[in-house]
Amino acid sequence: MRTPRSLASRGALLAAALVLGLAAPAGAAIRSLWIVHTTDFHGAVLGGAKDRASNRPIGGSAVLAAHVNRVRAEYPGAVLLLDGGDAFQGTAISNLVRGRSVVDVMNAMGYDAMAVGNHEFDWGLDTLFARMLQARFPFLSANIYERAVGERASWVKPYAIIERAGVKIGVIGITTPSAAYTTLPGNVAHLEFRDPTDIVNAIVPEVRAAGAEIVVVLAHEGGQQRRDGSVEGPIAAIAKGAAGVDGVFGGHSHTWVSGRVGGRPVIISSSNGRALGVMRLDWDDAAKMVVGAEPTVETAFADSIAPDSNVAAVVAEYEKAIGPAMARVVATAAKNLERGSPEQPLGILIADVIRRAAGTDFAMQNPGGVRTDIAAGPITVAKVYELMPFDNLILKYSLSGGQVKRILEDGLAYGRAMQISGLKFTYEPGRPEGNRITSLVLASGAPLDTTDTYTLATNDFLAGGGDGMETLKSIADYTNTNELVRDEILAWFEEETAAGRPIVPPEPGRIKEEEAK
Amino acid sequence: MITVYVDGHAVELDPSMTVRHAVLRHDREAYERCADGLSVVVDEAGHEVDPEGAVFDGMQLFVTEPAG
Repeated sequence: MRTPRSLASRGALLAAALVLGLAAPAGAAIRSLWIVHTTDFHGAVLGGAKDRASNRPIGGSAVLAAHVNRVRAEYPGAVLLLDGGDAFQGTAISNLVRGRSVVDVMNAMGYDAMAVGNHEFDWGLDTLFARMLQARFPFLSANIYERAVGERASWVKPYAIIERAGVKIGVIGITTPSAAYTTLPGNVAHLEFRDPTDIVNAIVPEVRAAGAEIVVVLAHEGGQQRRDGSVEGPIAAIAKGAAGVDGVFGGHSHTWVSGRVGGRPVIISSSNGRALGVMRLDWDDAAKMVVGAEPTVETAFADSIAPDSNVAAVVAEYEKAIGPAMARVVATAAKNLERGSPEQPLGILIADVIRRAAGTDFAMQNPGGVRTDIAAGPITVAKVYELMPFDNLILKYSLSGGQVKRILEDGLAYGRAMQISGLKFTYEPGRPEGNRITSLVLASGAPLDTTDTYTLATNDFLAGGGDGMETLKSIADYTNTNELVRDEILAWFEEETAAGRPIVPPEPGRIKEEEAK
Repeated sequence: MITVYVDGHAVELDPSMTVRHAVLRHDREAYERCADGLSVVVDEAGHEVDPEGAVFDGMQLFVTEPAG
């Protein structure tokens, strides 16, 4: 029975023997393999980021590829390249082509396998399947089950066995169980994400029986490392509980982990192409086991290496293609759509979009989150990104009328008149805090009943307490739709265009500031 | 709800939220400094943690000035 303790002690003995120049047992040969790991790439195809600690440039897929090439050149034939998932969502150059650019980059880099992350479901299963078909490497997850039949999802491989330097490595994919609520819930409602440790323990014998000599877990699941080197979080639970596994790779938390749990090496390689993990595994041919391991994570500095020209060429093609995509006209503004104060035509328009998307009684948008005016005329995709550069999500609440009033008062106390949909209010700034609203009515003009229950949608910035939203922040009961405000604006603009309607400012008069009477 | 610690202070958080939400719930000014690039979120060992990273129960985060 292999245990981390026996692995560690045997590895230590062999390592000591090598260091001391002692002869290895007759016939024994140690072959080292290097597993290079990236995770949570989030569409970071382009470079331009900086490492805040050193102020040096980092990342970009061509730079990342160059670092991988460097490891491959150093250890020819002995390197495996894995990704921990959440590869696509996050940048215009990826989002606008639904992750196609990222898979082309990953194909060019020669990835061997990738775990399915929660954000792989963001654009629905059809898009995920398209990316899987495009990829020249398998997507892996062993813990995705079809809820209706209770069977493992047939469309994704639970594991892959890849040979390097004459050793067969079994790679088991795991998707975070939090995928049930960290992507669009409707996209995964028919799926069940089972406990990673239970699944790994159940499948390791199958992977070994299929010929794997080394077994690693490629999980889209998070954790972090403490100053004393210990590893915590869900990835540590997997590493601790999964028997018969030689190494564990994590992700999801965008953290930096290169440590051990119970002797097992564990890596999480940051995110967004900022770093790459390298796990060395020493395979003992005679003992038929891993006898040593070293997990490291290194920053993908861009000023110490020449970018990979093949990957750079792929990126350049997408940069050229993305120009027209960003310039695509999605709607026409009949008039100027401006921000203004206290009522922003554009702010209440966005509140209307949020309310429509969420299907709630009311919606609320922070005025500071509306980042540009829109001039009359064509509205491009780029303009919508400029208008709403943040990846703000839409959340839904069920609130009393009294809570709704307090929320709007909180905004006024912070100096912000929240942009609203489904409501109208008048306020006097000079009145005492908490009592500035002098009139609050429904869109119909009927008064808001402070004891009735209403639904309200807003963005996650306000939900987190942004712009003084103390009342909203204290309400823990809400639904995260995982819908981006920006995507809903784009979708609504396109629907209006398809219907032959230009975009017009909403009827004014929802927010009125009055002088003290 | 889960508990995330920001600069040692417990922050109750929906597990679907991210690092930036944890910082925002703890200290709005710190959040704004991070958004402006004046501060950075790091782990206990000083490694930068991306604001869009997932949180988990017991996670320890710190807001500090970038060294560079």
